[in-house]
Amino acid sequence: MPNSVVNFSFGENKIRLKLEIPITEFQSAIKKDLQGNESKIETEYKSEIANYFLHHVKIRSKTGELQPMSLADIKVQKTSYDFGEYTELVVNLICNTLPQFNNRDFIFDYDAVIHQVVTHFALIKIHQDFENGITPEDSIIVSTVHLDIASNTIKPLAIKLEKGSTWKGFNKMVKLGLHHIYTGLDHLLFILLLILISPLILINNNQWGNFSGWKYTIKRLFKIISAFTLGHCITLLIFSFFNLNGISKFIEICISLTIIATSIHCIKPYFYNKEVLITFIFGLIHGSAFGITLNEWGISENQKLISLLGFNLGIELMQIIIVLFCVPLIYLSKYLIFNKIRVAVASITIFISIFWTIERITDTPNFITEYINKII
Amino acid sequence: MKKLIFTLSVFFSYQAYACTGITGSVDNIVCLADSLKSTMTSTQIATMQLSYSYSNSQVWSNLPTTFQPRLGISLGSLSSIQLSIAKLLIKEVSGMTSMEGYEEFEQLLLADEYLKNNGGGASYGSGLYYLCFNGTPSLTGAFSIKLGGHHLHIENTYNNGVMVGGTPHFEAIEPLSFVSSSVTYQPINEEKVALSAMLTSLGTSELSTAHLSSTFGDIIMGATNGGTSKDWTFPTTKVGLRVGNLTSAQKTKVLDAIKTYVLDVDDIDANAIIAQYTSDLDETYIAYSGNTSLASAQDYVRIDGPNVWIEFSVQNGIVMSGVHYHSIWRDHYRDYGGQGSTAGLQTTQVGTDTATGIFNENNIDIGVSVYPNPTTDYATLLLSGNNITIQAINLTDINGKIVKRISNINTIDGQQIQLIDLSDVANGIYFIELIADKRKNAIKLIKR
Repeated sequence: MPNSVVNFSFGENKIRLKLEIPITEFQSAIKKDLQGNESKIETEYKSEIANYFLHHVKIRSKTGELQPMSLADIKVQKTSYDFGEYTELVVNLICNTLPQFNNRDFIFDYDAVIHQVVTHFALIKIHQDFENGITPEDSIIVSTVHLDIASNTIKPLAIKLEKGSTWKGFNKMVKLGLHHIYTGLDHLLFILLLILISPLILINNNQWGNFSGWKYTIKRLFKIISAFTLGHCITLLIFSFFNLNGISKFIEICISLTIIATSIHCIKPYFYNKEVLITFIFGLIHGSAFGITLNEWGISENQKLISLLGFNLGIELMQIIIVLFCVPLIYLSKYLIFNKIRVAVASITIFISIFWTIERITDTPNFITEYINKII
Repeated sequence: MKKLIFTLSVFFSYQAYACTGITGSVDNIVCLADSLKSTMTSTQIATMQLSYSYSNSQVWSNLPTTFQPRLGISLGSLSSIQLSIAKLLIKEVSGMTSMEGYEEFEQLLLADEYLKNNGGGASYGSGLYYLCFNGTPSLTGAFSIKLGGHHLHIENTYNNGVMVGGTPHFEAIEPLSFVSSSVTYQPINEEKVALSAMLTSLGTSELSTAHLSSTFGDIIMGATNGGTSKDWTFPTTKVGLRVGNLTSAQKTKVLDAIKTYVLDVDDIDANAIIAQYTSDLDETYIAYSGNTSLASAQDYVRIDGPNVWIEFSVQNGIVMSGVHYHSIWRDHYRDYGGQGSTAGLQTTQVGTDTATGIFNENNIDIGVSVYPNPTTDYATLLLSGNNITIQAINLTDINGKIVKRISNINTIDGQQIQLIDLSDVANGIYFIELIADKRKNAIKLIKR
């Protein structure tokens, strides 16, 4: 049978706990038939289940001072492990710690399910710890809570976090910013498209002309990239402070549509001289995606500002690196071959983006997106 | 070519059968191990034979080998000649009791093959069982023979020519019953039936004492599987019903259940271990959770003695619908031959109480060692104790029949030498039993 998982997220005066508990094991522990009655978990049984967890999950200081804990929500979801699918209970708890409490050195009393089902165990994960640069994307397993067979008891777990720093957290966010652009193929392609059109001037009212000089190119590139970054920053900031998880899917679809729009422009210009405004709007859309993620991580306000600063700095750095790498490409715009490269890149991007859009609408990967994920 | 293979196979099977020592003797195990290696390439040997260590010993699991790799060489990679010698070796190690030992090994492999062909797929199958020599099999020094795969783990440890541990021994089955080549198999049914009979022989109040309120989704002293090691973490307080309070008929049921596990090692060592577990019986505890029929998921039973530890768990199927069993036999002092515990690697044969042959009960401490062993005409017993009276020393054959009895023994205060004349007994394996205050202890003795 699958085990439970306890995810710890550490904020400044707040510890969030996300418990993932297999229903089959949980119902043995509370001696209630839940399989087939999943709908009642979030309604009829909710207060009973909440009481159960507040009774079996406790955080206290090393001197024994119990910290106030409350239930945020309970959900039921399907998940899978090596041997198939199962249903799990997801319980979110919030512990608003008392002023004297040291949230980097404390005692965790946990015996949910295990007090009855003695063969069960819970993995303890650090889901997020800003000061040590741990984000949900690289959460780490630190321990397990299990029956101590020799004494037939479940021992409290002492949690002692390595001393971190704001600098460490900031550093991590810069790295994440770099990584965000570097590994997001959609982002990379988008920037590449902007670079490809920057040296060019409009001719015959509806065609791309030739290289129009370094001064023109650099000025245009600087304006376009800055507009994109500014838009990106604004929504990143706004979305990270407001819970807008619901529109996350819509945003992802919009992002792939903006890439298609830019690709078409790259082949046949239709918003020449409005690039700065358009990329600013596209930047707004792109920025909201990471803002939503940052909000989901639930880090505290102070840490969030530092995170945003670090993250944006990382994005800027990576964009500069990409632009520098693309200088030879800009140089090529003096020659005829450049037109072929431009159209080829844009066409491939349109092709891939169509399948991204389909994937994001249907919530299921298709063979093209799976193939791309495999090669990158 | 055909003829050459035939000649070769005759040659090798002759070599294999040339190990004509006493069945189950370490001589024979070493001889068969050498025979197997003589048919192998150096790469195969290097895969199969490691240098002896506890860190190798503890590698086993109840998970398919694709999730938790095992040490050693897979049976599926062996040639037919190598496989036949490997099986002879496993036969020597696991004994010939009907439906247990070697027969059970064959049946559990068939079960995994069935699982592979009926929904389990490539993670299962009889080829995915691994034979490993942890240390070089020899009459001097330590080694263990490991045979492990998804639903069976054998771990027999030998030191200086004697078997010092036959545990941990894990066995499991899914599905409970299956048909292979028109024969129906239920490999772990004997264990289930004996354990259930043990529980159903109890009266109402005995059952309530034996009942545990905890729920068991599995055995608790199982494999590590990437979690915390369970080796030597036995409960310090035994729970359930004390067997000493039961009738002799009920005690027999407990012993019968124990035998379904102990008889998975070679017959000679099994008898010595059974003798020890029998003398431990009064201080052994039995406990259960769920139903005594052991038919539904979360039904569970445990036997916990001064030495023996047996657990049996019924749980939901993984590949197929219905339930499946996980089960383990461990020994408080003899798992992995004792290595890894505070006592360290044992030096005396399984069935003798502790490392030096000393047993502790009601303030009785007797040290006993025998040499030479194997011997020809005489065996010298060195007894040491502090004002202890021994009622008798029996020489018994492997069937438990007393061949010789020495009864006029002085009270042992300090050290005492006792000679046993063996000139008038036939060559073979014997046990020297010391009887003191209703306790008996056996040491294996080989006469050549």
